[in-house]
Amino acid sequence: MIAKATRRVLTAMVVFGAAAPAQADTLSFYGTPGLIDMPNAYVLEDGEIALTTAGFGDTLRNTFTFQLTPRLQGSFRYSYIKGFNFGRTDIYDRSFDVSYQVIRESNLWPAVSVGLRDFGGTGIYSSEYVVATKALTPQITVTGGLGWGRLAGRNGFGSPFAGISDRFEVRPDVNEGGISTTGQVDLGAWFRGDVAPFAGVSWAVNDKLTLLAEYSPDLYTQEESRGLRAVSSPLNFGAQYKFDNGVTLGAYSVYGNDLGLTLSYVFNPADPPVPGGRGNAPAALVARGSVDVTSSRDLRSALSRQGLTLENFAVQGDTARLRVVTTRYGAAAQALGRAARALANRVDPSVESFEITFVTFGMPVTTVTLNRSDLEELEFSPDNSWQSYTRARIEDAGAMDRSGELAGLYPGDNLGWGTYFTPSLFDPDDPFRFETGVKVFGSYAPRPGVVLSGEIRQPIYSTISNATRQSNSVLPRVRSESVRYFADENTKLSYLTGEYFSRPRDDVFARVTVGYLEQMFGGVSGEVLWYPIDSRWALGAEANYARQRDFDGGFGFQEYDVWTGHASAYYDFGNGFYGQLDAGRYLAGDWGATVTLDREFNNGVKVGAFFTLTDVSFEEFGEGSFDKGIRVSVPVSWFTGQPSQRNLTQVIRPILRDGGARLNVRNRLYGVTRDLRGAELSDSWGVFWR
Amino acid sequence: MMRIATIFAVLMLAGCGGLSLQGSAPAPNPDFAALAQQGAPRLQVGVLSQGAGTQVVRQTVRDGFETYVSADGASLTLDRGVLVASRGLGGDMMGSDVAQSQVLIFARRAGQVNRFHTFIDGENRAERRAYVCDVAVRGARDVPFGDVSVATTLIAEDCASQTQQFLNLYWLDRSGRIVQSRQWAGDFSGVLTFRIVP
Repeated sequence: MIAKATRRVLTAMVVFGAAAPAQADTLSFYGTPGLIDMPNAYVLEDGEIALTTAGFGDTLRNTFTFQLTPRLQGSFRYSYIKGFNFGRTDIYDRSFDVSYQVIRESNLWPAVSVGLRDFGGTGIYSSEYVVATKALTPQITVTGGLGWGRLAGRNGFGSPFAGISDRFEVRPDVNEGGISTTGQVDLGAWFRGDVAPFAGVSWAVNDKLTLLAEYSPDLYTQEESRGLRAVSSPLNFGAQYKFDNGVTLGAYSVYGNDLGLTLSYVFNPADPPVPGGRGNAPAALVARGSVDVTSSRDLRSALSRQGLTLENFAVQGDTARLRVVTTRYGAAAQALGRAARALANRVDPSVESFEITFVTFGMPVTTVTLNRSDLEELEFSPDNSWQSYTRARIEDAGAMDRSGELAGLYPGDNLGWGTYFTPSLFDPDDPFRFETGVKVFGSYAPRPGVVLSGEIRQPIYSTISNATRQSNSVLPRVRSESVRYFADENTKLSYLTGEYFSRPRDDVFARVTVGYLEQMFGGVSGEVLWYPIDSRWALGAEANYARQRDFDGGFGFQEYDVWTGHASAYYDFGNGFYGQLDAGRYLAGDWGATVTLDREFNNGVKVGAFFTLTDVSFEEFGEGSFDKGIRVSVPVSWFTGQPSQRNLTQVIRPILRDGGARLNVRNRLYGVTRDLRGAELSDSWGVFWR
Repeated sequence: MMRIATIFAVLMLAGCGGLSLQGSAPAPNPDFAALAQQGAPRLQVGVLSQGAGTQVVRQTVRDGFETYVSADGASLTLDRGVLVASRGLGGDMMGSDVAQSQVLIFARRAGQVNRFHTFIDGENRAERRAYVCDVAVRGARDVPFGDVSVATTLIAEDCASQTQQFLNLYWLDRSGRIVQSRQWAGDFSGVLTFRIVP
């Protein structure tokens, strides 16, 4: 009876919880939580990504919004305004927004957010706002706010901060310096000048349909002064409908004279279609007494069915040692669980201890020691993930060692082919260009840690070759002429290198790469990484001599050469946040540092942002002022539920120029070792038994 | 009774597909055909929400844990007929403690017990859940297996946690073997139906 009563209370709590303040269900034309053209104070769920396309009048906005933390949100927007230059030409505009929810909604208080719109870029959308939103009922919310910049159009009044300082009274023209100042953070203009109020109301008729109405002070002054249609009413109305597949479609009456449409999709990287993936169950442990003791050859084929390449195998007393390369599972912990069970079902019942070492590029990275009887005890036990983790010993794998190496592995070779797709984004003449074709790659490893490899590409179809825009860079043109590498459709050498990987001492990894390092540079690259097994820190240093390759993608070189290199610090903040700081000399000979912050989900989805500041002045750098961008990487397995180490990765830079450019050496040490080190093993240990 | 009728409808509809719920097709399990040919014990398994089902064959028995594999590469582990783990269904039940439930079920006795499950989430984390369950004896039921009718006792186990609720049903024959059941496999897969293939 007590349980029944408890359950009723719990059920009531769940129901009550569902009726708690509504969260952002609607996205504005700017692709951020809001009404129609106005923001509201709501946020997305932590980690969610919203993709929005909005069109009205002569404007089209495409926005990527990421809820970085429960309160902090960032957006990247690519907009198109038709006839923005007095009808003569169109404009493509890139803008970044951030907003922060200062106060969470409660029974008493509204949610309050502060936002910066287009805080760099060309400043077309430059504005700031403070906004409050309160749900009056679970269905109806009201929003009111104050806007600066372009939001201070209709009924603007003087700066509320004028009392603090005169400088708040006037908003400087962020475009004063012309195109060369774009991309600078417009610190000096934020929250300056007049402000104007905005307001709106939303009514969720049911789970799918929401009606919206708002008052917008935005007069589209800049658009109007350039010959586009004027705003004839401050009132916007519309409706959004959410389909079962998660896509939301909106239709609106905009500024009294236009029809507007939005299409948006919100998803959470933490929720893949199939949690933990589908199929590919591991073979369960057999009773130890009925283990069919087999040779290492059978073990090898059993492991290879799990995407694990067995390199070394030895049994000594009650310990079995094996070294494996994992090629299928994104999470090393899952590969480890597979290796352990394959081993338990095949080695002599007297063996009690398993030492499993992950190897990459010939370097032993991490050794995990497991007790066979723990595996047997925990396979289906209720707390098997945590208990198996606490009973495992995770250590640095130490020096390279060829004892127990399987015959026929070295020298080894590998030949393959595939297709490729290279996008080239944001050229104002054509913002989406690409090249696609066929690639052939091969490698030869005479001994562990030594790899000779190369790749050639044959373009089949390219629109990048249509690019006619000339670089106007005053720096050595190390990246700004990148489209010239796509100018013809001849066969090109992507890379051709000799690599040597080694383990000079405990917790230290080393790499030397010689040859045609990347599409645009060849030379020599050396790197050392210190990465303690259980550390949040890793420190690295890299030195390179690089010479610019010919545009034709052949074996030739150009005149330009440079010594470049960085000292790097990598830090795992926990909760999926990773930071990286690289300081040193860049390809154009400029000195500076790159800051990168990634939020990474345990299933492998990564969303990050980076910027580089060097001794190249904003003026010398040119459009964009400094190098910056975002990157998004999603494992193929996220979509398919099938194990795979392939990722779909896209780096989005508003513009690629010559300042702050780094060499793209393949197989940098942190990237190739991190997923096999202690912290990553621990983060994904939940799939050890999967 | 309506619910039980649904289960039978599901069992009747059972085809020879897999346990796939969604997403692209996983690799087939190469051992499945061999085990089926060797005459390994089989279970008819249905996914209630999909109205689909398949047969699974037993691959291993260890310490009372019986692991059955499906043609499409998923596996289900039962301890004396009670589901304790799945692999490859999606949102898998990674491990369980159902000992208290088993005591009452096999004693055909009513009472209250705790059961524990761990599920994998979308971020590769193992989430532990504890449930309070009321076990009740629903009485005698005749279950048809082809031409024969098997006399069974129907036991119901009604479980809830803070956020989840499910009802498991077990049909025990005279020897105390679970010949048919419906059991919850987690939020992602929902309810599975099991039936011994004679």
